[in-house]
Amino acid sequence: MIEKKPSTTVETIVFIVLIVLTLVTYKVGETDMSGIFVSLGVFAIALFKGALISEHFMQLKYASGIWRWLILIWLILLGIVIYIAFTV
Amino acid sequence: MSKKQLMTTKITKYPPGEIIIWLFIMAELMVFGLFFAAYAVTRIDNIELFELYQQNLDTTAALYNTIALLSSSYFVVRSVIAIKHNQQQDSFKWMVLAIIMGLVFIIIKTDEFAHHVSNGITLSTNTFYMFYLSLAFFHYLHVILGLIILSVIARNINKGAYSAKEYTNVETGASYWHMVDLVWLILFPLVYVM
Repeated sequence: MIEKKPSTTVETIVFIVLIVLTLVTYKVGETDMSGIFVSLGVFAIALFKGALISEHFMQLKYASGIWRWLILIWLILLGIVIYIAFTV
Repeated sequence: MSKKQLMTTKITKYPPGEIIIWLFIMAELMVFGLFFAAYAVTRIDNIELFELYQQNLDTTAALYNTIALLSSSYFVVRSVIAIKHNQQQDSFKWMVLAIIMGLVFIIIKTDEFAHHVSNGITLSTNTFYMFYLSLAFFHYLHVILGLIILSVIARNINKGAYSAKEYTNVETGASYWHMVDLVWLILFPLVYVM
């Protein structure tokens, strides 16, 4: 039996946000903006995009315990390593 | 079923798909994480070299590739939602669109690799290209594997193998594909922009 059309509003909004943030990252790369804070800002955007993928596309927002945090912990650890490597 | 029972069912059901794929995803993310860390640490002593050769990369192609993979991931999400509501035709349509966007990524990336090869650039050209080519090619192989998985799932959806009662394999393939997208979202700014 075919059910009624499900709502996909949240997923569509997340997709649009991901595309907009990607365009922002690209524009920063195309301009003469440089420096450590620009680089870290660009990476922070990437980590946020990763969290959106984890929560909304991978649906881990519904997972319990450690499963919920698997990808988020990976993103946080990666953020720490990149921050240290770019600021030493 | 009460709201509380429904929430409990929902929470214990996740992560979506087979658990084995999540163990595989974590192993893959650890490997890519180490790769990214090695890139960043090596960059510390080679900042000028990395920044110089980074400028030779095609950022516009990387933008198109990011949009292609994000779109593909979104289409996979729509396919999963459709099959959960017994809409096999919609699910198949979204999955085919996801595969097409994945193929767009492969075409653009293959062209990029061909351009580098024609310019005589190899892994041994310098440290930056060693990292860039290794990372990009390793990810490229994952995209190809992901496309094979999505193609099998699309064929099975078309044959009516999945429904609102049985869609675990669709979620398993979707989870892997989102991981491939996630890795690219980190690779793009780290190697092309920063």
